[in-house]
Parts: sequence; C-alpha cells; structure tokens
Amino acid sequence: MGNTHSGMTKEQLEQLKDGSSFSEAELRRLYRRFQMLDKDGSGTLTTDEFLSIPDLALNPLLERVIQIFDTNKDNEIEFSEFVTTLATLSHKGTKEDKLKFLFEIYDIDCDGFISNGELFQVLKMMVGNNLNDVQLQQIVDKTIIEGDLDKDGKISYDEFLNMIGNQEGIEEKLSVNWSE
Amino acid sequence: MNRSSGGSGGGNGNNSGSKSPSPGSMEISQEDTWSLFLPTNSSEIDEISKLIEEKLLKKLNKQVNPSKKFNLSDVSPFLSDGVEVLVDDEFTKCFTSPEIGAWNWNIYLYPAWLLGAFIRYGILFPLRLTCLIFGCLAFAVAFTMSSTLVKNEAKKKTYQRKCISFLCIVFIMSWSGVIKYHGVRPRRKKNQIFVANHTTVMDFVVLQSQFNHASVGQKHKGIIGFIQDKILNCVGCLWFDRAESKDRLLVAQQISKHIADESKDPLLIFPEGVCVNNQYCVMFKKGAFELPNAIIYPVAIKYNTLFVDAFWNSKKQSFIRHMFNLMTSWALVCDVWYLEPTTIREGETPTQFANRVKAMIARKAGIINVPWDGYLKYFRPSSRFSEHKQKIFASRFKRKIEESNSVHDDLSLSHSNSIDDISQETENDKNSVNTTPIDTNNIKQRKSTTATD
Repeated sequence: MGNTHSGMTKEQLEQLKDGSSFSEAELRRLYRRFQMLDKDGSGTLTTDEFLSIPDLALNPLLERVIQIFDTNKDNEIEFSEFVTTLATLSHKGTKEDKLKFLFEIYDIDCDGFISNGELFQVLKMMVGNNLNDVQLQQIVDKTIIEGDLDKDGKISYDEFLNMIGNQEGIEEKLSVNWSE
Repeated sequence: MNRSSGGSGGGNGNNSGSKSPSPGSMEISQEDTWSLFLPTNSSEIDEISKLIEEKLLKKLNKQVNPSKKFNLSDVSPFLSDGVEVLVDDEFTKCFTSPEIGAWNWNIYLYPAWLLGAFIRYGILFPLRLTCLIFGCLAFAVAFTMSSTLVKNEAKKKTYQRKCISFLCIVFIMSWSGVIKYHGVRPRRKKNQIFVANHTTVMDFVVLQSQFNHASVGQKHKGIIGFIQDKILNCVGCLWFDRAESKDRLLVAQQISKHIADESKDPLLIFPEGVCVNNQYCVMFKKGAFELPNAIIYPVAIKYNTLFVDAFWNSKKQSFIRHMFNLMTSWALVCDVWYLEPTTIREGETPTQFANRVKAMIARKAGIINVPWDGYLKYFRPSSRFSEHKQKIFASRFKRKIEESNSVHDDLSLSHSNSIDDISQETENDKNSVNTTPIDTNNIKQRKSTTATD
C-alpha cells in the first residue's frame, strides 16, 4: 500500500546500515514490521498506530517512549527514527546510548536536566492514581536530593550517570531481547 | 473486590464506549462471517490483566532493586517491555500469515517449481473451477427443486441438507482437500455444542461435510446475507448482529432453545470470534460456555501449511482471493480431531471452563495458547489494563514507603544512621499512608528476620 511513499531504496538501506548496528537482514525485517504497523501506509507511525498493539497500548510510558522515538519532533515516526532508537536498545547498542535514552525518558522538556516536576510527571504516569500526590512527591524529593550533587534542585546528565551509571546490570535492563 | 463488583457495569461502558468510533464498527460488519460475538466482560478482562501482571512481576523480580529506595532505573522494565513489543508482539503474530522464504531460487528447483506452478495454475485451477461451477449449479438446481417441489416438510429438510453436504464436498474437492478426521464423530445428543478453533470460513465447510450442523454468526447483507437466509437456514443457523447487544441476549436464549431440541442439527461455535492464523489460539468468548447444561464437544482443526496457508486474513484478502489461493495450491491438508466431550466442573466459572477447553484444543492441534481477546483487533483495550500495570508498579512503592515507615518505627531508637532521610518525612507519611495494619505487620516481621540475619 505505502510502497510508493515509503519504499526503501538501496541508498536508504545503506545509510541506515551505516548509521545503526543492524545488519541488512535485520533492517529488512524491521522494515516489514514497520510497514505492518503503518496501517494507513503513510510511511510514518503515529500514536494511533502504536495503540493498535494491545501490549503497547497498555504501557503507561508509551507517550514518553514515542516522544523519544520522534527525534525531529514532528509527532510522526519515520523509519529512520524507528531504527535509530531500536538500535540503541538492542544488544549492540552502547551503554552510553542506553543511559541517554533512560535519561531522556525523564527529561521531558529536553533541557538536559531532570527537574523535580518532570520526575513527578513521569512517576505519575507510572503509578496512576495508586499513590497520592504527597507520597509521590516524597519519592521525587528524596530521589532528587540524593542525586543532586551541585544543589541546583535538578539532576543533570552527569549526576544521573553518577547515580545509576555504575549500577550492576543496568545495561541488561535497558536491552531488549527479541528472538527470530 | 471493587473491580469485580463494578466490573459488569464498567465492562459494558467500555464496550459501548470503544465501539462508538465509526471506522471500527464499519469494519466489523464485513469480517469473519461465522463468528460469535458475546460481550467482553470483567472476568475476561481479568484474564488479560493476569497475564500482564505475571509478565511484569517476572520482570520486576528479575531486576530486584538492592537499595530500598526508588531508583531512576526502576522504569526500565516498562521501557524494554514497550520496545520489545514494537518489534514483535504476540497479538499481531496471531493474525499474520507466516512468511514463506524463497526456496525455489536454485538451478534445480526453479524449473521444477515453474512446472509445478504451470500445473497448478494452468491445469488444476481451471479444472477445479469448472468442477466448482458445475457443482454449484447442480447444487442450485437440486436445492431449489427440493425446496419448491417437495411438499413434505421433513423430507424437504433432509433433501436440503443432503444438498448442502454435497456442496461442501464440492468445495473441499475444489481445493483438493485432504482431511483426516480423528476420533469418533459424536452422535447427536441433547444440549450438545461443538466448539472449534477458527482459521478460515472454510472451517465450517470442512466440518459440515462430515455432518450437518448449525452455526451462529454475524448477520450479513448482500450475497452472503442471501446465502445465510435462503440456504443455511435449513440447518437452523442463528444469525445476529454483533453490534446489537440486545440481540446477543436473544441469541443466548435461542442457542439454549436450539441445543435442547434434539431434532435440530447440532450447533457449532467458533468461540474465538475471529479468524486466527492457526498457529495461535486466542481467547475463547465464554458465551457458549455459560449456557446451562451445555455439553461441550471440542473440535481441534489444524491445517498443514505445507502447500498453502489456510488462514483467511480478512483484512488483507478478499474472500475471492482467499478462495483463489486455496484453489491454486496443490492440496489443502488438514487434521480434525473430535475430542472428549466435557461439561463445566463444579466450582468452575464459565471463563475457567472456556480456558480449559481452549487448552485442550490448543494442545491437540499443536497451536500456541495465548490469552488475548481477538476482538482487540477492532477495539482498543480498555484503559483499565494499563491502570492495572500502574497498580502493580505502585504497590512496590507502597511497600517501600510502608517498609521505611516500619523500619523507622522499629529501629529509630537503636540506630539512625542509614535512615536519616526517611526520618524526616515519616511524620508526613503517617498521615497520608493509611495502610491495612496486617500488611504492615507482615513487612515488619519480614524486616525483623532479615535484621537478625
């Protein structure tokens, strides 16, 4: 359906292969998957299309994940964006990139800092109405105080690395295992 | 507790709510002719939440956080979980045709394949098509004759049924169906319901050729509607409109009446409600399983994918195209197993019963048993599922908060070294966290044992 619009040319494929750690076969497979998810054949994925996968629709952090996928912030996800972020979380992605990804989940306004409000928002998505705001705020405050070394009230990427960068198995946690 | 009591109301609300967008409901009316739609209710929803819970807990447990505080990496299960399904999710897998790798690009195989293709498309297909057309014509003549000329009602019925069986055989022949039936075909009994997994509309034909049975399904317009009205009515099929919830209740009553009457043909139901690709088995609608006194006769159908994929992907293929695929393949090989009849056990809920039968069928047919509701193809899962996820995650924090409280209570006098930060907020916490005393006690106990260790 969307072939006219989104067919993958050789050059594109080469480009993506250089840009990510995926092999050609893996890229082709991802492309098929991408086309399948792209129900309207527009060549881009929208939030609506993501929601058509039940497992994904149930993910409380879906909104954040989509926003990170969407690197050029046009509210649609092109195949190159799709591949880049997936590469980060594959087993071949570097630890640095993975931690960066995790940081971006919290850094909603992309200013390079996790503020108190941002952490609160993300945690709110995670727990819904099961904790009240006071309890949630406590967790947030505690976390920020713990990590905030320069006492500016927010967590920079360096402070973030300091907090969890050396945690055991952090790389594992941020790796996605998908079998053939 | 809350969930189950408010469940039915909430479930209905969800259903009607998610159905209102017109594109979804438009789509439905054209799909999956023979399927049964009965409401998705709270217990079925629980089934999915249970799956999610198990999956998530497994992940959370795997990543036990050694420090008792919230950790910024605590969200990673959600991330890896979410991204994992982006690449591959079980639900979509249920409804995709398996990909066939090119095997014929080989100097020896290619000519053989070409020859095969020529035979299939150039010789077999025209032959089969001619047979099918003549078979249909013969059927049409015989059927109209028997329905207009024969005055005796009982005799008319027998003739009509014979015609239908004949038509089914013609259809099976048109795709060179090689169907192996295993087990003894059960005789007609009271309150008997056949239940089978659903891959294609042809399931109905495959089983019909063995013995006449009625089915329950979506009412259609146009040519399929004509067939439903004029032809299949003589085996006592029940048609209804999936979108009408009132209709559904009526259908349940009609089904009960139908199965109780031994002179009528046995009923066949596809409780999955949608065509699945025959590698998975999605959730069984419990409708058929909650009828009083029903004896369920499970039937497992497994198509061999050696020559052709029998799955009718109704979103991608038209019915004609599906028929064409079947008719241009070498053969359609399929196994049908009649399993031991079973009834609801004491203390078993209809949902559990449905799941038990589903497991029986899945095991026999060698297909993977997944709990997804096939109707998620059309409707988005209710937000309650994700709320459930949030609850699991939150429960972890709740415990942490409780724990830190109790630790504080227990140990604040002895040493306050490691719990400086906690002690500051405990005062606030006490007001806000109203937990059940039992819970806190448990944690206290656990805490004290670890402390002594």
